Amino acid sequence: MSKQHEKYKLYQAFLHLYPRQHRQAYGQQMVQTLDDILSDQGSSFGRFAVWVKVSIELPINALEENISGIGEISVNKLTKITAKQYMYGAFAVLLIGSYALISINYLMQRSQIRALNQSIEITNQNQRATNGGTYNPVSIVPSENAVYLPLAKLRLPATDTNESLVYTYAPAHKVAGLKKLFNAELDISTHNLSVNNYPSAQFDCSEVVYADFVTPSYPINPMWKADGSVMLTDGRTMNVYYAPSISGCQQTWAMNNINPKAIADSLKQAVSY
Amino acid sequence: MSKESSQLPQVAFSILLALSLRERHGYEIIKQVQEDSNGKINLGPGALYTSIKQLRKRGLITEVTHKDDTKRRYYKLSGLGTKALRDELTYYEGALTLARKRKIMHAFETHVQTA
Repeated sequence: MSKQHEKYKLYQAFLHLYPRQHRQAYGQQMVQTLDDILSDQGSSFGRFAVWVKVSIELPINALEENISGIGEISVNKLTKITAKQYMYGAFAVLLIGSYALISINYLMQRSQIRALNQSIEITNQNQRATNGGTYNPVSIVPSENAVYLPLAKLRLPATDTNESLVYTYAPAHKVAGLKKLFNAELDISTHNLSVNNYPSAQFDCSEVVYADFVTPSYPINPMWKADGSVMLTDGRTMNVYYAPSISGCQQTWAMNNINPKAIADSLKQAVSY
Repeated sequence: MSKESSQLPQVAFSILLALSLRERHGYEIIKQVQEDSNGKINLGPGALYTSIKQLRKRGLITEVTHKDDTKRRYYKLSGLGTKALRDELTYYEGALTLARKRKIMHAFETHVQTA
């Protein structure tokens, strides 16, 4: 291929629609002739018209060549293309192109609707869980070394402390081979995330760590002092509380191999996703 | 009228006619055919080389190379092609003579004027 013909790469690619024998015998001459035709055009419009004509002629002609390869047909049954046939061809190209665009748009919309439906389904499932059903468990993704809490849309870097963190209602979701098991519960109505051994509304020994999400429209009581805060990318602030000072609790936690400070610190590494 | 009947499709006939005066390369054939047909036959590269392939296969034209223009292949009428073109022209000439004799052309013209 000469340098002059490099600009016809697309046309040469479409020549592969022809039978190999025909392409090898005449492909180069077809490119040369196309170059001659285009070089002879005095205006951009003329060159554009040539390209339109060629783009309609080529597939029809290639079809003829492929058919004639199967069984002989008379010369120029198809290649003598009338102006009306060009018009039909152009109309067909427009029609097929429009159909393709509509299809792509339809598929994209379907994909978005599917994702939205999936999100709604998860929310619905978790809302049903407040009436005694089961929450979606967190996704533990070893390849990313992370734990995902879908409803809270939190991603936690996996540590010894939180890699066993699960997001269920009750009973605790057990993960084989892991020593520490905790529940992480998100209250739909208050947006509070609590990490404890047993579901409880009390901030007592059973509630080791407590987290809440503060949004501009849902401010937290300013009297409450958090043990740590995490600014999330969606604009919320997650405040983390734990109860190390409550007398009598330390012994209970120690017996169950629980370190509330470590759990609270691991929660403070959370990010939105 | 000649006993010969038309054997060539219109495009093939037009290409042979374009090559009757001298050998030509692809684009020259396209231009000559367009001129000879008053713009009614406007071949693209695909249609042209399909016809050329068929005409070569039937031995009506042959391929020649020019040492001054190595990029393009030229085509010229073969002996068989010259005979085929002559037969075709004879057929058309006979048909035209018959049409004139029967005043068919005049009848067409009158029909067009009164229509």
